[in-house]
Amino acid sequence: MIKNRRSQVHVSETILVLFVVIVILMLGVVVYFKFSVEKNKDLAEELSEEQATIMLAKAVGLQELSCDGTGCIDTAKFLPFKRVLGEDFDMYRRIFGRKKITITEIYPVPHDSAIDVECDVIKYIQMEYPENCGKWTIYDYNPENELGAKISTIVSLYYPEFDEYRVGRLEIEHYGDIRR
Amino acid sequence: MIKSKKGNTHLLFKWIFGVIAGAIILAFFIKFSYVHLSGESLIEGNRILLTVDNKLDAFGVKEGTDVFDLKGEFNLGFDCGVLSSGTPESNNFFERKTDKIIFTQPKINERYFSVWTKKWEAPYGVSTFYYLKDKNSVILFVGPSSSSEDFVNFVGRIPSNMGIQAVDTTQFNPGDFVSTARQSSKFTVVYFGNPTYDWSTLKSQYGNFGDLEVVVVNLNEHIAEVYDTYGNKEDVFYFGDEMLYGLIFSGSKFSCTKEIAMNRFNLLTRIHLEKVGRIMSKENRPVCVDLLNEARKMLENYQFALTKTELYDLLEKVGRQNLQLEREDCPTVY
Repeated sequence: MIKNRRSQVHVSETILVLFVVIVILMLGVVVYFKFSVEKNKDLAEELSEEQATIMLAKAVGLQELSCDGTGCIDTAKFLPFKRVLGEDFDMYRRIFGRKKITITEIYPVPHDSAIDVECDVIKYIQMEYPENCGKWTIYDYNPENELGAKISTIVSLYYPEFDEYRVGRLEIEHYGDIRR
Repeated sequence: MIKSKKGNTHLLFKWIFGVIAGAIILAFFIKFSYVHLSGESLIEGNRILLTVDNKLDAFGVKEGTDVFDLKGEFNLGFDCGVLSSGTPESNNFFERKTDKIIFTQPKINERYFSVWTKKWEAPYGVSTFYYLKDKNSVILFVGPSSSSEDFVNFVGRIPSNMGIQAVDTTQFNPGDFVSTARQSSKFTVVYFGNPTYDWSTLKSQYGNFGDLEVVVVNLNEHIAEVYDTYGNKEDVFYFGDEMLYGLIFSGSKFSCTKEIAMNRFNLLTRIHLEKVGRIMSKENRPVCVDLLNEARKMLENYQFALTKTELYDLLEKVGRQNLQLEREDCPTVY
């Protein structure tokens, strides 16, 4: 009876030791994976920022938006581009990925009523254009509503309708992700 | 005796328990290592593709040429808008879609490869073309270097680091290039004008060493015949010299990349067409409205043009119309 109890104690001890070892191992694995995930997240953010910086230079020269060979951005292409974007979204998703691209007019300083007002077809056909709006959202893809980091550059905006140049800011908001 | 049996059973039970528990822990570690290694390889494989894609993006902002150093040998694949690394049958094979129009050989296995970027205008800017070549791929031009200025100019625009060799048609002897072919993985012979040696003759000379492709270009007609490594012939036309360079660097893979380029051309034409329509609505000067209207009609036809004749004809007309708009001080198409 005593021996039987002793052997039961032995078995319980072994199980306990194994249990403790497994728990320690599990903890180790969880901690390792947590660090690994963090490391990969940092890497993804780093690559995303690198990609966004390249995109900033690329967007200025993108034939869909730029003036031909003069280094400016052709505002008359914005609305046609948005229409084409709607028809071929998958293709542009491959080019831009998860980003938001906006262009804001900064000089001459827009009228108070035009600041942050989105330029669309309705605003374009009005006589007051381009004084009635001051911002174009060229592209926006953020399906998971992530918070993004922003980078921007100053660009020259050309209005071929009035043969006029203005100063704008091209801003790219990127979402710490290199997926497309 | 009974006591001894009990002791044995107890020991046996401990062993069985230990072996099963050990096996479970071992299996867990093997699985863990496997997941870890495949995860690392997934990141590394995708990272090299992303690096190549980003490098090309950054380089394509302006026209130019350079030699890329990948800091290691990777099995890079370029197939019609898809970049890949690794061999398709292996576990470390990764693919990434790219928006860039890349004319190149199907595989690059070298640490260093040459890159040349050129803007394609038709007549407005459509895209930047990328031409890639490693030193194991040899391209030989055979043309009238002493009599054709077009040929000399065409060859002269290719940067020296792309490593193109050229020989006059009258002096071309296939036997002279056997040793060059022996050291190459792909050997492309590009004839400008009538070929002096047909595909089968060249195959008998170079075919044993690597992939042989022959391209016969007619500069006046903007057409070419492409013979792949099995001797299959394909008739193609190119739209602009930039596309002809593409044909030379991609060989039998040209048609698919050309299709991507033409889709992009169509897209840019749609943008310019709509831009002209919108500008017209803001224009008051009758001369400008008339000229813009003509331009709009041309772009409408240009958008649906399919044949080589239509495309070249409209290319010239749109260019001329834009010049006319510029002269009249009107808003231009591009």
